[in-house]
Amino acid sequence: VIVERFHKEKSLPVLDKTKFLVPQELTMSQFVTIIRYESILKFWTKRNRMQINPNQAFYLIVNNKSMASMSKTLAEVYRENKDEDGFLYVTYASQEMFGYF
Amino acid sequence: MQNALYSSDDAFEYEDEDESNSEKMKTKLMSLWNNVKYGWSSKLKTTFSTETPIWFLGVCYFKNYGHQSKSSSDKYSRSAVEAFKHDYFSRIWFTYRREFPKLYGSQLTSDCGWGCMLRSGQMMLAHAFLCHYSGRDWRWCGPQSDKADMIHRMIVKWFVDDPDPKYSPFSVHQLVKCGTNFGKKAGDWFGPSSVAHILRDALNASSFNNPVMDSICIYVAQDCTVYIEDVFDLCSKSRKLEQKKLSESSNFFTDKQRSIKRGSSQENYDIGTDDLDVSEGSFNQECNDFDSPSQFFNSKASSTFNLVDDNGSPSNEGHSLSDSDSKASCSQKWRGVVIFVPVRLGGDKFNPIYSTCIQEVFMNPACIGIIGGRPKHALFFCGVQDDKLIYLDPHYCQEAVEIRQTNFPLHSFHCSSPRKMQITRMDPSCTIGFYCHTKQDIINLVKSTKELKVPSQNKMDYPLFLFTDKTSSNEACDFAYEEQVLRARHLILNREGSVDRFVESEEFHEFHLL
Repeated sequence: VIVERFHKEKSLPVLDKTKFLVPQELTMSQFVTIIRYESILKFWTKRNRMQINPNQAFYLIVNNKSMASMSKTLAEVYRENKDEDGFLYVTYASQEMFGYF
Repeated sequence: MQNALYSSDDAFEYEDEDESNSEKMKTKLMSLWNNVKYGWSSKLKTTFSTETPIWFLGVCYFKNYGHQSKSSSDKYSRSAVEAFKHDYFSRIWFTYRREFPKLYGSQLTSDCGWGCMLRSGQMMLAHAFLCHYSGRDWRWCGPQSDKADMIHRMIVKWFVDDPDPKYSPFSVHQLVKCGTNFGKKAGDWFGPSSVAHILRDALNASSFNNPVMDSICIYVAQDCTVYIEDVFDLCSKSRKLEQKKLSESSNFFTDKQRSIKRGSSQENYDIGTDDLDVSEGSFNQECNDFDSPSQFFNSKASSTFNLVDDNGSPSNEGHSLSDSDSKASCSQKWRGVVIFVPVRLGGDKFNPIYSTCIQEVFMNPACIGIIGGRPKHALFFCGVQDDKLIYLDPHYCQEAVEIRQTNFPLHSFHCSSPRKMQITRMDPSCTIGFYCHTKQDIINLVKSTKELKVPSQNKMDYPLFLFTDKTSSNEACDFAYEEQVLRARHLILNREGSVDRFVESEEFHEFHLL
């Protein structure tokens, strides 16, 4: 599984680790927890002034679809969404901000 | 045309930068500009077809729907649209405001250009309050009964731009203050998920000020999952008990002090109220500033009872507006709940597989709308017809309204021209809202969303969001994984099994084993 940051993402950090080998039975919710944990860790190590908030919006997107079905295993997601090169590409993103003159 | 608008907008900004001290002038120009734009687009009158149903916040407006007597179907279909417009007009509309008291930690006196998501969130919550205190059937039609008028004004008052949380616990001032917990400050842009959290925090902070609000609570879903047990838990306990628990655990209140006597002196009335609405953590610190915590408690309680009494609340009717009711709610009363589900429906663009789901959201009786928007342009979506979303737009700058007088004007808080946009132009980030008055409502919501959440044409199910029976603590992941790295080389072999070429580079890929 390759985890990438959404190219317009501003509030979440870039992860050091991007490539993961994942057991088949791992569920999306466990996976989200790990990736979120990694990004929080990143916040700490960078001593970023931005606050770490457990409520920070954090979404995994595969093929432009939001991964809301947390009980799904990664094997299922992989089967349905793997890329031609054999990897599953997962994008993580928070939410967009709104404001307008 | 749109482009021309944008570029001249930039020019405005550029000229203004030169004269940095003309801040006030700038806001004036900006709001003027906003209103010109708004006026320009509102001339294009939105039309609503009478041939397809309009779904507006869980209510259907259509010629053959739910009404028995129809003398002439044509006449009725027109009146269905009229009825929809009346409903739309009755929703509370919040827009940019200028010349309100300075915001916390800044010199800003207007939210023009950045507060649109906050305004959209205010609209959604105000609608939830209307449902809670007046019911979904309430319509604003000029003169109304004292009670309806009182509730209407009370709700508007809670949201207007008054820095005092006693009057307006959900003013832009309070929301910005709550936003500091999320690293936000006045002038920042907000996202639909942070607004949901901010509104929840604001309610938690203010219910302390206002027992009327203790009959409603807000739940914000995490990771697109609503934990039903957690919602039940939240609904069945009173916030006062939560606060009590909190204070017990931190040993601020002794047993003696915890017994509250209402109606005692109001000496410390104004002390520290401004700082109340931060987080629960800092709330405890604020308590330290008081001579005695019970004094603090008393001043809070009495202030809101006065507020209720001054308005002449008819006792014991309505959901819980009276003193005795709120006392009862301390024990076992079931609270109404607003459920916010922040979602992201695609990466760069809204993924059209979700459009049917979005349409169905508005057909749900518990629906209180969606806060989202077009990219960078926040809107409060409150209905749907065909593939178009009906919305309330906060991008209209009005002068702030003084609410301390009893009969402040209400007309600027309602919008008479409904507008529509294509569902596919929606920004993928949004927060879906539901309101459930009773436990049965929650159960119905869970049942009805079973169908709603799955993109129907798609074989594989990627729901909007989920309901789970468990509590979030059950679900917490308890595994710790050790650092393990697998180094692999990505090769492509030819038929004979020898290496054809290396992919990407000769370097090893490092995979982290979970």
